[in-house]
Amino acid sequence: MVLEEQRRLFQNARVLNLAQFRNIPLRGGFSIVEVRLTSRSLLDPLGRPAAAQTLIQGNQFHIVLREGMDEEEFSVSLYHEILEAATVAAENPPESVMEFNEGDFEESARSAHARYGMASATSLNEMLEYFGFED
Amino acid sequence: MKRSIEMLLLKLADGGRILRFSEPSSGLCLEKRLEPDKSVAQQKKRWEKVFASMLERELGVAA
Repeated sequence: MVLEEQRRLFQNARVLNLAQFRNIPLRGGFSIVEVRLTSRSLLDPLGRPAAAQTLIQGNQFHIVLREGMDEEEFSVSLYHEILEAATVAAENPPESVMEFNEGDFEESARSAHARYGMASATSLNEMLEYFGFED
Repeated sequence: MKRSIEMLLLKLADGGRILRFSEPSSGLCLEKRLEPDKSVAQQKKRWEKVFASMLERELGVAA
């Protein structure tokens, strides 16, 4: 019974390959330095729980996501972080994202996941191209 | 002397967003909770100007 339970768990588990996001060039002149998961609580300065953080150093993005997300949640979060970080980091963001509020970024990330599938280096760039970030 | 500004986007568990500007060598930073119904790009531009003025005032440099 225990073996059966373990087999079921392994069948449902999918390993996220975070190495594929290391030092990835992005449209708009940006790059992802790394994507990390953390089991430690991400907290804002007032101690409130956070789900994700993206550090923008020049044109480089360092992303930390909360551990324990399912695949779809991870993928949508990554699309969201990249699109919003590119918009914030760009000196002149494309018109298509200039008026995006937080809800617009989330909706666009969900649409990107539905359109391109699980986030990958290729699909993140396809999304940025769709929104007008130039090569 | 021109200083570099780093930005941190923090997504809160309640869906809110924090945007923090910081200047690494001085440790000065400015942090705002973004208004959810307003343009993120416009809010960033606004607060970036405020932070640049703050750096100029405190450190006497252009950001």
